[in-house]
Amino acid sequence: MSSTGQEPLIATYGLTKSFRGKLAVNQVQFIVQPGDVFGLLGPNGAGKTTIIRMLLGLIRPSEGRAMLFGKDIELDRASILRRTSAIVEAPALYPHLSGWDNLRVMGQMSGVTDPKRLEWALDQMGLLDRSKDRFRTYSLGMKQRLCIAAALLTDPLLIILDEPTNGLDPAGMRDIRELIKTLSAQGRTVFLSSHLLNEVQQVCNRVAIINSGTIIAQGIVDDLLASRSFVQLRIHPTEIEVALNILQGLQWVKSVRRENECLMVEGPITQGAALNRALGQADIFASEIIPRSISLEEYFLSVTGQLPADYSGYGPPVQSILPQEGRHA
Amino acid sequence: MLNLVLAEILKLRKLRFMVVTIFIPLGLCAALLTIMLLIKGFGASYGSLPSDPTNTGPDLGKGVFSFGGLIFLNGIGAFYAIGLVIIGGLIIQSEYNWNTIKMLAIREPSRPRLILAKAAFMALYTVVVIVFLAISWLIYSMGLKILYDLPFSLDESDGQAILKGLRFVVLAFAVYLIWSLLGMALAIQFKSMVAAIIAYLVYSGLDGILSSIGGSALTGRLGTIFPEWLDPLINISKFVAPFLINTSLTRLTGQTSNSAYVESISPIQSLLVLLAWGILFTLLAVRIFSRRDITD
Repeated sequence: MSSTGQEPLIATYGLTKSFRGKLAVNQVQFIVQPGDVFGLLGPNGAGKTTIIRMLLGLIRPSEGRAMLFGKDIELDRASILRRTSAIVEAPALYPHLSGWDNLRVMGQMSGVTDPKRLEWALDQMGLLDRSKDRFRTYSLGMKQRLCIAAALLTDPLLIILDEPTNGLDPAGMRDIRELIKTLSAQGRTVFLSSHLLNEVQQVCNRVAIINSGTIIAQGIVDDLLASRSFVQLRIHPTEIEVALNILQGLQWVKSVRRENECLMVEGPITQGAALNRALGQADIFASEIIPRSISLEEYFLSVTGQLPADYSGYGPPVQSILPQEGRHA
Repeated sequence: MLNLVLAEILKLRKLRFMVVTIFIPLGLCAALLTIMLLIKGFGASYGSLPSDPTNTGPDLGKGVFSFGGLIFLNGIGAFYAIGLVIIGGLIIQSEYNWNTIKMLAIREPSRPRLILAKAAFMALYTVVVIVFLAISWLIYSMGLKILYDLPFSLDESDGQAILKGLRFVVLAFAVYLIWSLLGMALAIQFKSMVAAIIAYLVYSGLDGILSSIGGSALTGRLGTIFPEWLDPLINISKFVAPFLINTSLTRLTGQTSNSAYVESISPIQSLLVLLAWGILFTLLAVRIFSRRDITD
């Protein structure tokens, strides 16, 4: 059980995979709670797809375990995949078959043969009018949607999408984003991997950041971003030392740094007024109070060490929150 | 399992090469008869049928159905040996080419069931091919009766030839199916049709050589004086021949005049040997696929 008391839908423990001695994924641990829209973020080649393949039993971990619905994918594959649908990498179905026939094939494989269910899935994805056309004639966005329609046939509780917006135009990206929100609203848990951080920030509530096969940060998106948000105060140079001392004494301030005539106060950006009040009691009045929140992209760049050398917007790194339960010895 | 086989039928029935392969014998039958009838129409005479057209090949009886069987069942049919190996390999390789292999592997059915469904599909497909080949053979043979000015009714020897022809085509195609199962296993192993076909040719060639040497040695009809240093190979061939595919097929469908026809092997044993190889190759395909990481 996690700290929230809820059993995680996905939990990995020391998940490791090496190919011919080369480590692709190293001791990966993360949890996904029921109802989450979880984003696995990382640059290309970071190990995202390898993790997804291990979650789905396509490849075997060299070490560690992947638990879905509380069961080990190595041991309870069928019962896990009965409740899971996924699209791994590019959308792939049978090119010589129509959208309808592709769904029939996928439905047959899962024991779903009711034509109404097939129609419903196509309708959900807005593909009913193109259902007689061959898959090879579909645009990338339509292929993606047909694969999702195939994924919905079994009414899965968990949907895993690997780079779902890859290669899509802005309209296609928006459609997928809306779709993910819809799936989540229907009570499904969505796990997606992406290197498009803006996309992820718009749909995910929880993320893990992976770089070179290792998870370097994870947690609830708002918490992660809040951990790096700060308020910038411009103070008269003669008062700056006093202000520094006052602010350092505030309970909710994580850290204060001086940069020229400014103080960078790391802490909740909603506390600007409280900062001003504390300083005002000492007759110090800031000429500027600027709340600065960071984007997921900035957060990602900061934790992956890819920020420009002259970037000055961040405080010191904040320790990430890793799952401890069930950790292997 | 039935759902998985139906899914295979749904996905493969619209592939042109699968359909064309079924109808090739009918097309050839129509073409051959048309040409022969045209030639006859121009006044040519075909003389009389060979009395025993298959005295060194499979036992197909006598008469027009034997002659037709020699052309269709033994001749055109033989191309299906490699044809079914290619199709067996293709239905695996296509899943890799289309990147659908992972879509299959992340569905509820287990990997062994996926492969067993493909093997079952191959068996069904082989039955359909047999039916169309047999129909073509029967039509062609009836056409031969017209071409050779023979009575159109069926006599006793025709009946025997039809039965022997049907026995031959069923058993020969059972062996082709066994080779296609090997083709599937090799295609999974190598993820390449070319490598699979080469490996099949090597393997079936080895089976053929050992069957031929071993069978002939067992019947004392080796026919050639071999140097002494080949004795170990001959002894090994004699030992393994009863358990090989080609020996079994020859025993079940060949004529006693065939040098590799080993009468001392019982037909039941030969059938069991074929069944065992079929199961072995299927399990091989299942095992390779079940243990493989799918990274494509």
